[in-house]
Amino acid sequence: MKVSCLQDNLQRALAQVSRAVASKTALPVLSNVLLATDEGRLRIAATNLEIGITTWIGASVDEEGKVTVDARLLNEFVNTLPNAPVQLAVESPRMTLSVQSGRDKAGINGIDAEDFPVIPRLDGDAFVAEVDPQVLREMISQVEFAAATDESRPVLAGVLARFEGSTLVLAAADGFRLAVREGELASPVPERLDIILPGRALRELARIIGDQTEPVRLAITASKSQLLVRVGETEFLSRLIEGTFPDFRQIIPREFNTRLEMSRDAFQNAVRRASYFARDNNDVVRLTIHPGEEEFMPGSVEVSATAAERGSSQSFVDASVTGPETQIAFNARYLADVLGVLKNGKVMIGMNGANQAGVVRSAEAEDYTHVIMPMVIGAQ
Amino acid sequence: MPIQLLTTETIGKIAAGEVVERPASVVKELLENALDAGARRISVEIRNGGSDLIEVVDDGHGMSPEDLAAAIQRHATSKLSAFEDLDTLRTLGFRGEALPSIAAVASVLIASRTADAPVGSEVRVDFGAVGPVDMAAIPMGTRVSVRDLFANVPARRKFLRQASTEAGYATRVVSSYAAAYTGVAVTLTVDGRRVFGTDGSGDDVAAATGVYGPEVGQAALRLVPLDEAAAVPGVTVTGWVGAPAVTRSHRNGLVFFVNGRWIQSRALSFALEEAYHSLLMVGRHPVAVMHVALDPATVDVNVHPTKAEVKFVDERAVCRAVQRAAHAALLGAPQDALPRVQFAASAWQTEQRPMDLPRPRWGPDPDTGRETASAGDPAPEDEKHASGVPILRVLGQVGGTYIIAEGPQGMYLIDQHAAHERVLYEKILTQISGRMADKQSLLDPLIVDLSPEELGIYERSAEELAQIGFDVEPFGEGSVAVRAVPAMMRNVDVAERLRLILKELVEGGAGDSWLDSVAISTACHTSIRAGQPLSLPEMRELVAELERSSQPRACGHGRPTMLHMAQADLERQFSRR
Repeated sequence: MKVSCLQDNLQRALAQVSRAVASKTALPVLSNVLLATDEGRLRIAATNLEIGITTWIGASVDEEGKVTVDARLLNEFVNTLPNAPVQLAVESPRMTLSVQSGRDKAGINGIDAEDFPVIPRLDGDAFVAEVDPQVLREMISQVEFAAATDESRPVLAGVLARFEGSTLVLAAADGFRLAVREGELASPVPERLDIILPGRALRELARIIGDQTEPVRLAITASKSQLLVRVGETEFLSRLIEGTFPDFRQIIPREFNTRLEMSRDAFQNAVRRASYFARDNNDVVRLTIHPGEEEFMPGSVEVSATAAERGSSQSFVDASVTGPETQIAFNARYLADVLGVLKNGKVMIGMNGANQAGVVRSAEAEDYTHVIMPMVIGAQ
Repeated sequence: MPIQLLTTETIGKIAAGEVVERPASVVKELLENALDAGARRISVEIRNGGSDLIEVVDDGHGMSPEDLAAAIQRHATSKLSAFEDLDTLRTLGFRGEALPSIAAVASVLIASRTADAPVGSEVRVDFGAVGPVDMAAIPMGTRVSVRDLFANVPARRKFLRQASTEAGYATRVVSSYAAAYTGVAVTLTVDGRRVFGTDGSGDDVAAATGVYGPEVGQAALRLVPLDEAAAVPGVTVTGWVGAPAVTRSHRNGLVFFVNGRWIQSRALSFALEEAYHSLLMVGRHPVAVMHVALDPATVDVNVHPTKAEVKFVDERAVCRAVQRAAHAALLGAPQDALPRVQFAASAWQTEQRPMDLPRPRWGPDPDTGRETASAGDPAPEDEKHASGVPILRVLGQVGGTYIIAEGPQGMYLIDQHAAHERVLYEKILTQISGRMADKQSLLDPLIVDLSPEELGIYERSAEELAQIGFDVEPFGEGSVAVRAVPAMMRNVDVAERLRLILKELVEGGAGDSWLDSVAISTACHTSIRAGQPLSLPEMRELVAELERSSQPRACGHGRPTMLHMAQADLERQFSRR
């Protein structure tokens, strides 16, 4: 192999794929990055068998070939090189990659590229959908955090992606809360499809999307075991979680006894203040909803927390309240999580008593629904 | 075969079987006789596990030649004249069976002299055959020598254990009496080797030190008289209990005397261990010598020929008294005695590995804070939380299980699971004191399949689980539906943890009430596990929480949460001094 490329292209590509490099592995080749010539370009890929990232950069190819070398070492070395052409060469059979920039050069011992796992490519796949990159990124950020962190129910450690008609629905639940976001597909899909993706993989996908503007192509491999995503010049591969996601629609309450709307910023601040006191008391934050004195008069939400040893706090947020005075307790972290991913503006909270699920939404948009189960405070 | 009266010899052998089970029983009978004779000094000698020789020499009031001849008659006793006297009995022996029973199965030589007799007398009984009473030269007191025990009863001889085991039983008898009768100087010699000796000074701790060694002596906590509110009327408990740092893997260290008589009582052992609740590791037992004094009319000692068991009219009152006395003494125990890691004193001089860590030695820290300060340690002296744990700086984690921390007096190793379990246990206790615990509802009920055993224990524990924050309902056959979990249970596999909790409860709870047992199991199975890597902030938070807890040194099951390696030990190991 003998190729030449620009240092900043190479550096960016290595940074991109390095997220898929396995950090602790029994298979040494998985901590390596693959460099291969590919139709006049340089293909750079890494995989930890959970996810895989492949990207292409422009290069002038003098001699075809491929090799794998330690990802971290190559990355670190290339980072320090000046922004100038870099020559990469491999003299088989020793599998040593020589990296040269002007008079600076390194020889990095590699492993035969034949040992590197084959990463499926996007072509001729059974199922393809397209979606706006920034919409997808926002959807992921609003849903992914609600996935379970323990692996006791594998489907709950994942995020459901449902393709149906011209909508894509992402949903995640960890047993205590549920996040559901709908988004529009560029064009309708012929049949409904449910897949479950690992939460970690989605986080990586959102990172790869970054500020891309070209539509993202999503495809399922013919074996229906992997998701392939094309983002600009990069391809992202993730395994799918097998299983059936619980029917989340039936968990979402449709009507509320008490419903309130208030400024998200003000509420978020009140919750944050209370959370400092809630820390020592299982993160319990109480909401007491006071309706207005008369009809059409604004009411308020009292946000309070008490820790026996530390003290207590109380904040009031103006809110428009419909329904009777009521009290409910939530985990402060769950509230903070959802408020952090809502757009600025007004937040809507709907509830049906202290022991029933509460719903948090943006008051302006119906496409995102977050359900939180309340905490039940022990009776005296 | 026609019915006939048994011969005296046969009766003797049969009766002997009841009283004289093994050499240790002979030792006990002779020891009790010596004590009843008002001895101030008693020496006991055993050879070959008691098969060759058991000899007890005392300086008590002795016997006249006439008494001596009578003593070897069955049911001859100086201690009782009518059955009614049993109610007011204050002596150890009373049945008049011991000497004749022993004499029926061994060769016994008894020599004795009273204070006013110019010369002593002796009599030999060989396997029931009584010899003439002769004159003998002997100091005041009595000497009983028992040889060739069970030589005429091969069946019993065959059932004796190894000589060392039999000597062990006998040692336990002598040490229990020696520790209890502090006013009598008792020495024990086994196969020519002096095993221990007490000084007879009347001091509990001196006797404990003499019998069990300085480690136990230092840890002995004297029982103090209870105030009126706590005292149990009619029952007085004296003696000592060992600090929780000194434990045994068996209950032989638990010695109870009721009105001066050594007894075995599961109820009393249990009551005493209750007082140590959560201070001892599972499977470890304390050391204690306790005297229970009560009206002889309220205790029946004539349950068994060996008098090892007694019946109390009000057993619960006696248990209560034992437990309260021990509890009061333990509350006064020094709070800063952390278990210490110590290096073998001379390990670095020998060929041994230099880092040969012996098992942690328990006991109060002999290196005072003063000494540490003079060694140039900049850490603040004796800066401790109310709980007795020094302020610690977290350094790292070993094996994903132990947190290493630095304190004013050296290095501390903290077991993350045990520490977190203690923290959670106390949180649960705080929450459930007087109310139900906070809980977090689940989005949809979690169905958990249970084994019939687990289901049974769930049914028994349903109320306690609810109090701790579980909302669990029966759901069809063999399963339950979980609707809410305790608020502190986070990021764990709910079904798995619930099953673990029930599984532990199946084996019997570790707490002093069922609610307590459920709390201990819940804390154990919802806490951080061993092998779980923690970040520095997480470890700091955990240690800070442990410092704040009220009993930071053991988890709910009584396992230690931390070990201490003193600065001085480190310096010694690195040959700095």
